[in-house]
Amino acid sequence: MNPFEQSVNAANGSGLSLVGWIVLILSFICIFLIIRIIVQDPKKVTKPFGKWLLLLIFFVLSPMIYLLNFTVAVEDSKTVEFCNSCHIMNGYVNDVEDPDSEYLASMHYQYRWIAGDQCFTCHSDYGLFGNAKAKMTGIKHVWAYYTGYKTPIELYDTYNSHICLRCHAPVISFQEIEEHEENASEIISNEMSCLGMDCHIRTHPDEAWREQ
Amino acid sequence: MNSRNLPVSHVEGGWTIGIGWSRKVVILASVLNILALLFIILSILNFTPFTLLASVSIGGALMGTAIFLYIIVVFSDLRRRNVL
Repeated sequence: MNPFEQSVNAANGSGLSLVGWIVLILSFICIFLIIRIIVQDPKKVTKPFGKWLLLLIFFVLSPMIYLLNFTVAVEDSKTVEFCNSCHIMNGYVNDVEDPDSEYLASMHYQYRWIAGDQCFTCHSDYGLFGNAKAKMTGIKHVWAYYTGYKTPIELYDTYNSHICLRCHAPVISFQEIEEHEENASEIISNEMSCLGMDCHIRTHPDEAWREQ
Repeated sequence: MNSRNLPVSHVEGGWTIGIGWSRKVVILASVLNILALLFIILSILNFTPFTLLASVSIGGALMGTAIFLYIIVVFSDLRRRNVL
């Protein structure tokens, strides 16, 4: 990581987010209160004060902590660092972060054609359901990571052109390319993928999965 | 006192539920809730795919069970008081 990037990361704060801190503090408060009620004075469990306090903890604070943690989980699991926490991804992320790499994914990362969460942006479909689907697939991947998976790892299906189009479609330099004009209907209907065939190849190194 | 050594005032409408029973259930619910919160804390402090899934799935299941148990206690308490 170059010094400019390090300085930006340091300025953005690489520790816990505000929501993360709130979850942490509320969790400790809840645990402290519960232990105080049930261990220090068990009779309080059936006293009105204890009942109301537990009611507040069980029905308000705990669900709130869970939901806040869920939002942290959804947001933080989009980052490149999170993807890299599974060793099978190390080779892909190393290549993406390599300034000398000329693979498509790396170029998008190095030139920040995608501002952030680069892995997630290119590997999730458009819209709310796209995000939800990507998260469900992510759970499947985590399961596979711990229980075993086939190598080399591959996409489930042909790459969805709409993912590319959501950024590239409005760009004039993209529209003016002859091949794009000729195959516009196939690309738009997703009959033709942007990746593979004679079009855009070399997205990631073929053997990246070996580097763990 | 009845045959189960529960205060008679707490055996109403066919429900043989006493303060001791409800206290035990509340303590169980509290322990489950603490475990769920510990899973969440672990996920916040050490954010990995495994801790994330554990906090959302196991933590969620434990918290849901704890809330369900507390609801049972609240309902039994309200029935004992003839509110419901």
